[in-house]
Amino acid sequence: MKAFTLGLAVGRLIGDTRSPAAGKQPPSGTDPAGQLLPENEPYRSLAEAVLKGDAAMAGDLAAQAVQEGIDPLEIALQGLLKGMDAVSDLYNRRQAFVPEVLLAARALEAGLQESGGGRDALGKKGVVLLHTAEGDLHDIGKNIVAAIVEANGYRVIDLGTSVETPAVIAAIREYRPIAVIGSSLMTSTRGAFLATTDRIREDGISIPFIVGGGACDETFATQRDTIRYARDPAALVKILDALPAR
Amino acid sequence: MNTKKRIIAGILGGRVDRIPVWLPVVGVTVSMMEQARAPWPEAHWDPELMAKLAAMPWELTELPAVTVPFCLSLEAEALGCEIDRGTLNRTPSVKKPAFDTPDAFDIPENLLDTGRIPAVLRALEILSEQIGDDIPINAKVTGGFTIAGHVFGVSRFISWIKTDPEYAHQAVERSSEVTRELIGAFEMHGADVISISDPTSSGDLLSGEQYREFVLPYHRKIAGATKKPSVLHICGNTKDLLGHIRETGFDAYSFEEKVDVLTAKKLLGDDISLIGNIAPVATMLSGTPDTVTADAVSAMQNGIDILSSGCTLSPLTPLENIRALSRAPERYRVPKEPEELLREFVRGLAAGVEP
Repeated sequence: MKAFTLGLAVGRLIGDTRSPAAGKQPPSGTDPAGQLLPENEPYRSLAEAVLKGDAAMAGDLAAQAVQEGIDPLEIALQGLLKGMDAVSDLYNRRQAFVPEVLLAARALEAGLQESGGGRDALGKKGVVLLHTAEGDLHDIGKNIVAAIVEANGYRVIDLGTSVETPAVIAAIREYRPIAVIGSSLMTSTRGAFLATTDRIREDGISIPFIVGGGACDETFATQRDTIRYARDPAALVKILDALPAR
Repeated sequence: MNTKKRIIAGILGGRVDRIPVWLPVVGVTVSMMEQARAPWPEAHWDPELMAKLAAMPWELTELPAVTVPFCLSLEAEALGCEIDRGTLNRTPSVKKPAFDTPDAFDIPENLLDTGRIPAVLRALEILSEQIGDDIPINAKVTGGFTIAGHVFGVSRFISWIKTDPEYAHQAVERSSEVTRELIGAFEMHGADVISISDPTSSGDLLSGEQYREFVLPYHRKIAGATKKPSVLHICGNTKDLLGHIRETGFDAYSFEEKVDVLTAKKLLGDDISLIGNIAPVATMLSGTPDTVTADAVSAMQNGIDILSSGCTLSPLTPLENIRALSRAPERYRVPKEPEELLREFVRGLAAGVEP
């Protein structure tokens, strides 16, 4: 019953014609978001606030949980992040889209602020560096990747758009990431990834470099043995999850 | 049938002698810039260079794709966004949004005299005068949803869909006024075809429902305001949007390989001509003339009305791949209409019973 109620909420939330809100009731027990949310309170409400993209509610609930003496790390990992994970799952199924992911990321941020854990509390699977190729100012794809990778348990260091090689190298030395992720929407900028990987190797660093975005494809990735191609955020998470522990 | 008539007929869904090849998007490359001595970024600002470069796909590769301007930031620059001028192989792009809220959105009274717009108008005149009898001159205009993303910042603007739907509507309404004003001016200055590029309204970013509410009404207004043959181009996976795109009123729809031709045909029917959908990166840039030809033949067999790259060509695309695209229809006959096949059959029967 709980799952179905949430299914209705998600349906209204994302305005999707395939949702129960549009009159199509899913078979019992198959509601994707409901299955992903924790059973126990206050974690379920925290996760639901993120899923709905309700920053005010996520912040209030997180503050309340802290007052009740709950560990900020638990609030983040058992509550807020589970909501982000649910949105990420719906996004992969094309049942949530960019507006929903952006709002959920904002609610996650608000919850983390209020619980005092901050983003450092996340990332138990490791740190990843994210950037767009030098010359490429498109940030929307990168922002979605940041939200989804974070939802899957990684700490994301977002270096921003049009990032030059020295900044990537400096960040590798500072944060000791498990992978570098590069996004490019312009084929004329993707060459920067080759230059950056070459410089990384010349500096004696060995690290996987995962590329994505409209300008990249499998053929491009074959140009260097350290480069991997991810066609979407879900594929990227799969690659990250399969990396050997560092 | 001359090239111009064939392409216009293809856009409007009329009779053609062979499947036209044409791009509603940009098809210039670095080697074209070098041979024309019309390099980027200068060719984005100088009308003579712009016209010279725009004609190069036709002159060098027989691809009758003459399109200006070459980027999507023309409108954003005129509206006050800070622009990165780009390089020889990279188009200008928006560095900083211009406004925080739709209330602040100000369209300059002298929009047509602002930024690079006068250069584009002059380039259209030059092209129309020089090759406009043989090749359709295509004016590319950015759609309102994408302009809104530029002037407010994509993340902020897209978030309004959930947080402030009224803001989102106001933003697209205002931006679409800019699109419509440019269409009118481009048509007066020699454009034969108007192509609207609206990549931010892609199904990669929005659901079908969100497209219906926040984009469709404005696309309808834009299509209604266009007097010349009109094309809508949206890249990415737009399968969920196709049912709504059918209602826009554009004459043709241009799409990427993420949507297969058979699906597009099924969902758009004969209401809108289909333009596409050879992969711009995997095939046009990274492939060979043989893979281009194979993909082109497959698209034609599946019912594409105009053969095209699924999106703007990379400036690094090999010329031999573009030539292969231009020549692909020579290897493929336009299938006969069912009525024509029936008439042939009946004629055959009649001939058979004659003594």
